[in-house]
Amino acid sequence: MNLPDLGVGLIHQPGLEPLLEAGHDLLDVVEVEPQTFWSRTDSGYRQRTETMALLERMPQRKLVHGVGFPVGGTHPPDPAALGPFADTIRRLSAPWCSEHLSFNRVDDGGRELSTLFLLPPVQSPASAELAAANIRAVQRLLPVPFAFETGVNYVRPQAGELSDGAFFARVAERANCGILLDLHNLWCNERNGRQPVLDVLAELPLDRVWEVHLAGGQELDGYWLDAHSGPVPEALMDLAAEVVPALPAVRALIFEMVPEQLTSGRVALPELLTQLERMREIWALRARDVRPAAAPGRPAAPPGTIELPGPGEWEIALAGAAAGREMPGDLAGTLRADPGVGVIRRVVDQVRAGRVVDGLRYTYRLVVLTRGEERFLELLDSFRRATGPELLSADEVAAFGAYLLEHAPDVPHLADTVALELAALRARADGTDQTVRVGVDPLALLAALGAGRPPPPLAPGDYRTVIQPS
Amino acid sequence: MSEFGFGGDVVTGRTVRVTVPVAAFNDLDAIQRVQRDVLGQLGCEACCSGWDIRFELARQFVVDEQLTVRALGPLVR
Repeated sequence: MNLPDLGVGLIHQPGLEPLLEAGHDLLDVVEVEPQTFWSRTDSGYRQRTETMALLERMPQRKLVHGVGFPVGGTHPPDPAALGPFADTIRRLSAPWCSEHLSFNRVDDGGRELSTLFLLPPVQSPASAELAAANIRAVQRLLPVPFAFETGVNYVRPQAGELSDGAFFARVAERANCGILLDLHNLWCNERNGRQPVLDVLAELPLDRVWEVHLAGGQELDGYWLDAHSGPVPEALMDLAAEVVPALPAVRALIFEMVPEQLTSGRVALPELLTQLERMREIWALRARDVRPAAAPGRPAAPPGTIELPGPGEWEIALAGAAAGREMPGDLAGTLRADPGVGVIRRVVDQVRAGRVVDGLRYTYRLVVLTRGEERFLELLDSFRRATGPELLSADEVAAFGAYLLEHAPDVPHLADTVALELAALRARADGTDQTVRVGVDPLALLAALGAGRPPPPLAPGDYRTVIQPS
Repeated sequence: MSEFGFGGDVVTGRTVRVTVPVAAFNDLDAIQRVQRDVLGQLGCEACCSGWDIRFELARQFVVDEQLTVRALGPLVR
């Protein structure tokens, strides 16, 4: 595969602009996650034009990394999502693109449910064939070569499964595609009891590795999480210095971090710049005539004497266990008892909490300031148990708003606050004015909540409020 | 136009038309200095398979009537 050499880069997310600016001379490439700035329309998805324009103006080369249509499950990628994904690739002239070898949707009696988390497929030959077929189908619809990302996996290995490395290798070879080697994911897996990173690498076709991801993480309940929460741990950086020079086809080395860590001041800019410099040093270690590190002979395929669940059966059981649903069967019981699945459950709950306070920040404050935080947490817990997560944040935020209106009618000004915030989200999504009628002065209501104070006594009135996109 | 960027004017006897730029939903926040775009509010979250800190951040900016930032107990829920 004749791909251009891109260099060291950073994932792009709104909020990381200070790092992009300060690290301008250290960054050769910016990797875009297009679904993060999409909103849904009746006919598909709409991209934020201002975000696209900003990306097009950046001087660095671009890569496009999907976070919305993983290729490891029984749900094939949504064609409605692939169109705008391909459009982003063309507009940014990305030389290749990538997605995750995971699944994020399951069938529940004919209804499609989101898992809100990229869950790992069962590592069987049948599952590898399924993923390879998905990738081949995707490749036919995309204008550039495709690589899958090696995923984090908090679930214990199941008896009879292919090893992590053997599974990745089989998918890559059957699909004839590239590999995005996420070293932090593999490092998490090793720390959490799965196959050691170097053993995984020994089983991979290293000439298919086009890109490497690095990130930081944190601990939760004894597990190391792929939290993208800060600088790359020193031990992982050392490992990257060992691995990257042995990758004959690697073309990009990308750092991932969630922007909230920077915008909140939890991670300082100078620390990140020092790290980018270290990544450039590692990048410079590559030799053009390097050959894959001498690997032990690839292990033979497992004997196949242990019957593994089919991909669909695995998905239903794991998604159910991750959502805390009681389901019959040995597999569901095994997964429910897996502490790694418990970690997934906690992480998903926290993402859902983050979504609702992000989308309804004034409503959150209203409930806390007038009824106390314990009440808010009770409502949030009951909402999460009563409903499954939505694929898109806006849908989940709207569902939580509706849930509050039904279950917390005693909160003063709740209907007005929810209506204003949901209208603001619609204005952002559609780019059009949104009109909403509220029963008190919205300026006084929002100003108080914005300052973190309970609303003062407000006289009733009829306020036709126009929310303007800006 | 208020200090928060809002505008309002009386249209009929008891109906008031109020204009609120959507950016004000982020910008008027006088305490939380974190400036965010709409990431996560509309589309898919980025591929973060770890701990989401948005809820923790939201909890840090609630103050009482004396404008004192209140400690709200353990962060992890």
